[in-house]
Amino acid sequence: MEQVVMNTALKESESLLSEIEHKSHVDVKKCYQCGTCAAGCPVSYVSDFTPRQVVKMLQTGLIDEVFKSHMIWLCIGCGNCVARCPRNLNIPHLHDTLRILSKEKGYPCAEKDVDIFNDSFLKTVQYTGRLYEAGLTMLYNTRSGHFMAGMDVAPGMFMLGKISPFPHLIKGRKEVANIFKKMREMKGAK
Amino acid sequence: MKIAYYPGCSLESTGKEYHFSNKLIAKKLGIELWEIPNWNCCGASPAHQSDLFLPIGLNARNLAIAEEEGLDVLAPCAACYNRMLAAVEAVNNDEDMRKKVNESIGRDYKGTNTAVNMVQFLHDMVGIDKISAQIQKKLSGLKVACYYGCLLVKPPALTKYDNPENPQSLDRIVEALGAEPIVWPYKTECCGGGLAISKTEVILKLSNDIFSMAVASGADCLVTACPMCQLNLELRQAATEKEYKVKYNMPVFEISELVGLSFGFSPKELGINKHFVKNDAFLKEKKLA
Ligand code: SF4
Ligand code: SF4
Repeated sequence: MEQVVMNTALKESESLLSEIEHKSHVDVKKCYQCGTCAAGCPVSYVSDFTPRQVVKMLQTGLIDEVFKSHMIWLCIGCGNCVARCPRNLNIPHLHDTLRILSKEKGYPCAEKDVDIFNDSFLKTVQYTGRLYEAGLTMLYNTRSGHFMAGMDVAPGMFMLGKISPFPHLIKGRKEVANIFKKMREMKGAK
Repeated sequence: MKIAYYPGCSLESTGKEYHFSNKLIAKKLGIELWEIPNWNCCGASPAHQSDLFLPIGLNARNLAIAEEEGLDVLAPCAACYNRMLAAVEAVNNDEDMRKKVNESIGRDYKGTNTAVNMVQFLHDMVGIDKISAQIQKKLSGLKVACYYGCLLVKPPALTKYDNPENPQSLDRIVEALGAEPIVWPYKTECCGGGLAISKTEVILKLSNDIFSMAVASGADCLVTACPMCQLNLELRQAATEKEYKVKYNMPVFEISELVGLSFGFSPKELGINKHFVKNDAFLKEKKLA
């Protein structure tokens, strides 16, 4: 991380921080940095920052760094942190919000595979109404370049009749498509 | 008793056996599972990680169909259950959100119903007494690590169910079946299911932590109430063993499968033969097959 002048960073980030707080309903000022969240987080060992550090960076205005961090993409939403936080900060929802905002603002995503996986998953839901596993695997593998991802376990799944090569098309597809449409309208309206 | 039933995508595919056993035991308990017609995917983590509105809209549609029927929803997948609760809360706390949701789904969802998970359903709504009354075969000799996983009891402000660090309800059901729920500290640790495809190495570490603790605490199998936990812990077990040079070979059951075995259903009827960790020898040894 390059050198930063603290009070300048804080001033410059004010409006962005209030947008984050408003959308996530998390008041980052409440965190007193006890580190409980970091201690129980199952993914901090593979991440660049812990959840405590993410909050500290927000408090001090280092929002660029947060938007580029791996943590916001690696958080699996297990809820350990929020269950234990003495200040009751909803960290998983904060991470969700940070991911969404960082994408909207065009930041490069630190964990591309996670992003591609999410996007491929939602594409199958948008068109069929439900998750279409085989379609997801094809989309994910071609877009991520991991052509063999899941291939170690796929044959077993087919053998046990657990995944089908065909999608399951529900009758309410139009309603589901409308939910996606509304989502895009709301994004455009901001 | 009648309840709306939301299988969710995994129960139609990778978690089929959970679906079978839920339906079988419900019938035996005299409960009507009314499957939500044309239900859609809850969006799982990809939806809530990608948009603030999308997961609420997707879940509200399913909830609305159940509400029109005057029913609460039983969601056997812990992740679906969690997403549904978040949608109920969002709609009830934000009038503007409710309007937008209803415009998108073309229905009038009022937020009067809620979702329950499988353990909550069996423990609080059906009740231990009613379950005990149907038991034909005690599961004695089975040492079970009750694995609640993360989303059944967390975040506590949302689920408001059991204790997030040391929950007891699943243990009580297992005990009622005649098995022994062991005391262990990893009941609500995460198995990492959400990163299974995009970051498999994380899963291997987390599941190794879980299995090694279960073994150290004297368990010979795990029980869950979530198709994602069950799949993840069995499907990646071989890879975990290879990575950490250990041998667990530990079956992971769904709670409805254990209930079903105690009700006298065969492993085949319950779909237990569809598991990735082969359990025929295990069930024979425990005199359950
Ligand atoms: S547990 Fe809560 S108060 Fe403590 S460091 Fe984490 S967010 Fe801050
Ligand atoms: S919810 Fe995210 S940040 Fe919190 S403990 Fe789990 S993985 Fe870590």
